[in-house]
Amino acid sequence: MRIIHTADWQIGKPFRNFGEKESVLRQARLRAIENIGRLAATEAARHVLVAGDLYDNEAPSNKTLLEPLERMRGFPGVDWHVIPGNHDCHRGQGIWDRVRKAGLPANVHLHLDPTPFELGPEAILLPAPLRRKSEVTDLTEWMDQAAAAPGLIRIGLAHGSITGFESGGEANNPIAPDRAKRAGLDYLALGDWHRTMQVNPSTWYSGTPEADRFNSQELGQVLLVEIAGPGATPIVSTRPTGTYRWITFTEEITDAADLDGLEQRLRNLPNLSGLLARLQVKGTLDLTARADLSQRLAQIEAAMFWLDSDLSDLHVRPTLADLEQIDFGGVLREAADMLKAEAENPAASPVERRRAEEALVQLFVMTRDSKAQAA
Amino acid sequence: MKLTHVSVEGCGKFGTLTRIEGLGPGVNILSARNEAGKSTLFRAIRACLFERHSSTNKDISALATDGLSLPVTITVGFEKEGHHYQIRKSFLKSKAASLSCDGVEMARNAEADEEVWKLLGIEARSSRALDGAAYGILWVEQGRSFEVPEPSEGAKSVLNAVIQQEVGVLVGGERARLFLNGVKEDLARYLTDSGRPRVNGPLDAAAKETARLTGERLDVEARLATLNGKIDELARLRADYKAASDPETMRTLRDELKDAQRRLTEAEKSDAELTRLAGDERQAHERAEAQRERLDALKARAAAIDEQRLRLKELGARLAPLNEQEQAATKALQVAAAQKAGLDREAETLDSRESELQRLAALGVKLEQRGKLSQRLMLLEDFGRRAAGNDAALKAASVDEAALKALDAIENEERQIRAGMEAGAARVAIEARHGADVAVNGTAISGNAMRSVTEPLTIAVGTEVAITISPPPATLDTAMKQLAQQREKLQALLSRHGATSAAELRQLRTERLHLEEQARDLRAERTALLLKESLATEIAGLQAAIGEIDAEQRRVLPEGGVPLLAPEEFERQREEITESRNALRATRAAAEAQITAHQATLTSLATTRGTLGGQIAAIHAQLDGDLAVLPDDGREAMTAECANELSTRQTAHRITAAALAEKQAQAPAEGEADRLKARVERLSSAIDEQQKKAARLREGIARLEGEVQISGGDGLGEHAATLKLQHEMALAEEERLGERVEVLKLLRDTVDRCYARRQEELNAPLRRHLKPFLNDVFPQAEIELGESFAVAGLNRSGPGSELFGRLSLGTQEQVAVLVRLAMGAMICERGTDVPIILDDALVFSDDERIEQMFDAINRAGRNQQVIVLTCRSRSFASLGGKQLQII
Repeated sequence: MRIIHTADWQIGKPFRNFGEKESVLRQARLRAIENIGRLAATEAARHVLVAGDLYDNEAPSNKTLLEPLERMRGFPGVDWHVIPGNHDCHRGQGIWDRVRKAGLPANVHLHLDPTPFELGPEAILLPAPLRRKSEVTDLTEWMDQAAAAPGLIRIGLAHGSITGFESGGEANNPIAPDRAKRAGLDYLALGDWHRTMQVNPSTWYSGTPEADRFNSQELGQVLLVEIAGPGATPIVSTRPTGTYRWITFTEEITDAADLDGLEQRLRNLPNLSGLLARLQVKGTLDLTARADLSQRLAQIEAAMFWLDSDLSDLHVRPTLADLEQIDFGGVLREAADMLKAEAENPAASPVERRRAEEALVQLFVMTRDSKAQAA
Repeated sequence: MKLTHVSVEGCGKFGTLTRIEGLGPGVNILSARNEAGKSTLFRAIRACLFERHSSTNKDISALATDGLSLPVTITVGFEKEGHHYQIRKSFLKSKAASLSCDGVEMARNAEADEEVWKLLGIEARSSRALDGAAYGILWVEQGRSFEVPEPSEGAKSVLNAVIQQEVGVLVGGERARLFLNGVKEDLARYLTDSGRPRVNGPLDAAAKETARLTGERLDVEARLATLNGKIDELARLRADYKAASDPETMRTLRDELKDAQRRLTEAEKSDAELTRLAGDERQAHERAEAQRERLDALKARAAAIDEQRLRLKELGARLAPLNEQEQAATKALQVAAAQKAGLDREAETLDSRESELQRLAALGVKLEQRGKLSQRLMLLEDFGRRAAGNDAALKAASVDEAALKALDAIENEERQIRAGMEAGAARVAIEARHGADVAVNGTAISGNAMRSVTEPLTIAVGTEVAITISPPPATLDTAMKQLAQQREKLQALLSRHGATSAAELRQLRTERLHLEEQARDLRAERTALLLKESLATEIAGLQAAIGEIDAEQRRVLPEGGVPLLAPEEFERQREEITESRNALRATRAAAEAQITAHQATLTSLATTRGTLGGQIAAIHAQLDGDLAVLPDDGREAMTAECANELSTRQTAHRITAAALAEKQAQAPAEGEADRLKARVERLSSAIDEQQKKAARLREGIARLEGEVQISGGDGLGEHAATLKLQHEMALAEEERLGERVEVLKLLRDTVDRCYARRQEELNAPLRRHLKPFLNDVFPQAEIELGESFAVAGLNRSGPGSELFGRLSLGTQEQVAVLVRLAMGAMICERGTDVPIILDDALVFSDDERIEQMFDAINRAGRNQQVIVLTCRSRSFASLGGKQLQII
């Protein structure tokens, strides 16, 4: 049988820090559901397992509540199996009661209790829904004792952190790393980690279908899982579903000549308009190059969906030419010299040195601009 | 640039075309009376050069001639770099502008406006008022000449450009100033001049946004926490409700209750039966015991009757001998009583004899006292007679101390009168020589004699000669009268006291003193007599006491009665009586003792008889009672009947006790019913409470469901997440802006410090140009220049400088004009030839100082055009220069 494994949709997550692009990112998360639906149809996967955190929080607006349900309703040939995660854990009169009251599409199955559920004649689903944000016990333990008819593929569905494994999850909901083996599971579909990860051949984190942060999965994807039969090792492959790529990288530059290379690398990144990048630039530059860098970054930022440049570790070391650019002598040159001395003063605090550097950059840029105007 | 001609029309008081004639290089003076329109012309020149022809601002409007509908037309001609330019503008109506160069029009309207500015080196601006640059500081309008020049930005630029040309670009003053202005302008967006965040500026807005988001976030998070709390509470209530409404639990409870109730009923029935049997047993036992007591009482009463009868016999035997003993005792008592009576009579006789003896003895004592009383009576009577004689003599002798003093006074007076007569009288010295027979007033004298003639003095010498010498008659009469008065007083005194002469009077006084001495002795004697009362009373008392003793004697010893006994006899008889009495007393005491003994015997006998009688009566009474209850003839029958009844009752008790014991053996354990009752109550209460609890929980769940639905449905969690992000962004933005401000402040302060260090260098060119002008008016003086060419003070060879604001108004104006002239010279030297216009300046200058100022103005006029407008023709006559005219 074939199933799609996904998790951590976190519908309703705010992206206010992206300004007017917030709505675009929110829409992208909904569009990812449609991508999954289409993928399921294409790959003839009847069931899509959503391993928790469908919603970003327990009290979304009604519109946010209904939007993913409607997207799933749009694929009647697909059965969506959903369990609550730590972001949307199941509590009485909580979000899932609201979902039920709102009218659950027929093809969407909420698994709010640890009760086996047959996925057609081939398999049985053992869900482990979260009833609290943070469970201290392993909610998948019941799967060890869960009875199922022989000949059925046993599939576990849970949300939490594999104990003793890399700590990439968000909440302390422990899951034994050998749960699949202990419970005789042919596949254990996990959620919580936003990056795709294989724990063992039968246990996987799918990652999020639409990336939502830096330093995590770059592009959203799901897992297509093929299980030949009970006891067979599942064949797991990734399928992209995300629209926007989130990348983080650090560049070390020490010379103006490095700027061309940096710009080239940035411009060569694929699909700039769908790229969110966090760039940290380290090293030292003279004032001219520093100003040049700002100008280049401004242009690249316009080409990208989003660019977040962190220049806090990029230090300014003005050259004589920089200082002469400000003036050969006189008041402003004296001021530049004083600021340079302060920026290099070991007795000054890092904040004071950084401020002096910024003031120097400001002096340089303003005098250069005024000269340009005069010219 | 030099102005060459100016004409106006429809401008202020100049309704028709009016021109200024005679403008040329150097000093020009337009001297005209007040309200001649000088200032209007000044403003017209400014408007023509610096205002757009299309402008309708208030300055332009103010130029229009009242009552005319003409446009304000101004034409200004000027020469610059060898070319002659003319600008003509019409304002307000038929607006137009035309600029010509050397007679050829080169621009019109707006272009003409801006071309003029270009020629004058003024930066064109569209929105803000035009900055006149150097013209702003060198064209001084009326009333402004005493103000320190404060160059506009344009003027500063001009001045700095000039300075830069002089001191070289290395100082960089103008660039620094412009840069600083830029930084300050940027900083001013964030902060006020006092360094506080500018209201509604970016920093203030960011802080407000942060505060707003903080509040909103806290509020939403609190609401979210409340919602979460309610959801948790709801889950707990549901779990509780599930437990409380579990049907299996309720069924178990009800079954347990039913079973407990059944068992309780059985236990209660058993308890009731036991209670009844126990009552029967107790009653049977009590009846048997009562019968036993009744039988015992019958037996005890029979024994008591027998015993009482024995006792009566015994008491009768003891009562029989008591009568004989009582008769014997009564007889002995009577004998003793008779003896006692006889003894009492003898005693009375003795008492009578003793009383008689006592009376005689007392009389004897009183008679002895009578003698003493008689002696004292005689003594007192004698004293009384003597005291009476002394009193009578004292009364007769009336010459007291006062009379004697009166006598002495009369005699003294007389002596004084005579002494006076003698002192005033003639003195007659008589020498009776041996053998001479000389007599004075008949008394012979011998030898020398001296006489005063106080009365007629007759000196006889022998017999043949008798010489009488008399005092003056008046003197003599007066003295005689006084003497006669004294004699009358003496006579009266003597008469009053029964004396015939002064000597007798004095004798009487001596006798009285003797009587007074006697009286004092008598008083001492009286004291010695120890009189308790007056003498007469005392005498009367003595006489009475003596009388009473005499009467007592007559009564006790009547004539012919028993004479008084001698003391020895009296004593003997008294002792005899005493002995007789003692003997009687002893006999009587013995008799009394016998009487007492007999009476005690009789009393004892009576008591014994009473006691025995009482006991016998009591036994009879008891016996009668017992016999009434238990007569001798029915004693046996009653006892037998009572014993039978007792046997019957004891049998009945044994039966009931056996039945009770049997029931007790079958009954449940003690306290079982109480335990079951408590259990029933507990189970009933538990069921009831469980039902109530379920009802309460149902209610609570419904309430919480409603609340959760209301507060959770509006996307509170989503809102909270968004707010969290917004809040973090706001904090970051506030921090970023704060850092930006700090950077700008650092930049500003750094450039400021460097600029200040260079200030002196920047001021040097102006100082150099100022020096000759200053020497014209204030030789050896220095002006202290501050930032932006500000005048700080004037140093006139003293150790310190005088602050500009403290200088006199005249000096302030002179210094201000000199600084402007220096600025003009400096600008002019560097090729920017700007005319200097002074409108009604130097109004505060005295005659000497104004001449010096004229020198300075003429110095300026050597290199540039200076136009002076004044209404003070006479004062400015010596200025020199070209005289302008308004035509």
